[in-house]
Amino acid sequence: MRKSTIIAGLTTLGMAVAAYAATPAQNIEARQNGYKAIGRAFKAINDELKKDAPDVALIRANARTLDTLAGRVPRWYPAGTGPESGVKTEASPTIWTNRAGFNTAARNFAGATRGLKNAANKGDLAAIRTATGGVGPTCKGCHDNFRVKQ
Amino acid sequence: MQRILVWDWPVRLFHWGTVLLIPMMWWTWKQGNMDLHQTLGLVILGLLAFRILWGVIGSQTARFSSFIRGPGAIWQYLRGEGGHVGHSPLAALSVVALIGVLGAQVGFGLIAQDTDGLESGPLNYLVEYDTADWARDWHELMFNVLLGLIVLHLLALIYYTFIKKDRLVAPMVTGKRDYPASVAQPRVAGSLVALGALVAAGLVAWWVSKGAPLPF
Repeated sequence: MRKSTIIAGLTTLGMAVAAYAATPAQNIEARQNGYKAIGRAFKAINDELKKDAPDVALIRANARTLDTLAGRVPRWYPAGTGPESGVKTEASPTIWTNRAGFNTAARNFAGATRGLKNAANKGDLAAIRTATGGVGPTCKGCHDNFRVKQ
Repeated sequence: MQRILVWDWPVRLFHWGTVLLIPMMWWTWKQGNMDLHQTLGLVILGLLAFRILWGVIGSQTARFSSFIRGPGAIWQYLRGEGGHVGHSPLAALSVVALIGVLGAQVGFGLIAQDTDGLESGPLNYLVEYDTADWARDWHELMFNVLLGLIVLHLLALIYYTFIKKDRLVAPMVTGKRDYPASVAQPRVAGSLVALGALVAAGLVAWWVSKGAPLPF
């Protein structure tokens, strides 16, 4: 076996172990940071759309970030990272008891961000506005059922 | 004895307007009716602007310079010395605290956003995401501070009404109160001036609702 293959193999293994060994607290912190990044990207788009001449390139960059993060949402909830972990989290236990429902809600979100990304890629402001308006309800669609307000 | 106009209509409008609107702000938030919450918040902003303007150019008992006094005057008042028409030197502290906290509350609300990023105040676009989250936390905290001040206000009212037998509610409704004949009627500003101030305050609230755009 070549040295580089061994190194690559060990690195992959190391990353897998690191992911496996992540504590619930680390997992929860990482997903909260993920949602903050989603919030920042979405706010940046909304703020831009309030301007007289919105910067489409800026919207496009944020729409891509938003779409990438949205696709990751279902993976942010490994078993044991709910409120039973003892870590402060607004994640509802329903995420794990109704996984199919949660995944559907997450897919709706990712579908909406995909639509926004496509509209941003085309650069059509009217389509961007419509698509942006479609994202909000999918955030809420998940929060209403799968988040416990503290 | 004579009847004196101690609270003019702008002061009463501000007082009873906030009495009506503060519970409605709580209720609309509780119901998740954020559109109405924001509209009413802007009405409160207008009332605040009106009251602050009136505190500078309004009737004598409404003016900050006439009722905000130093610790010496408060001490005198507590010992039962020195007369006053309008807010007592002690009550002045309550007025300043209530207006200040209500103003801070409105200010935080203007830039705050909800956790969904769906609802946000009209000035939210001017601040960073994290600042808006911070403002939401303060908006929640400040409401409890406001409630504390209101409870204190009501306790003081009960004390004056039942222990000191000094009825304060009726004058806040009618504006008038009995005073010995030796007391002079404080200067009352014209209603037309008040109307102008009200329109100006309304324009401020409207301008903020549009995101406070600069004219250049």
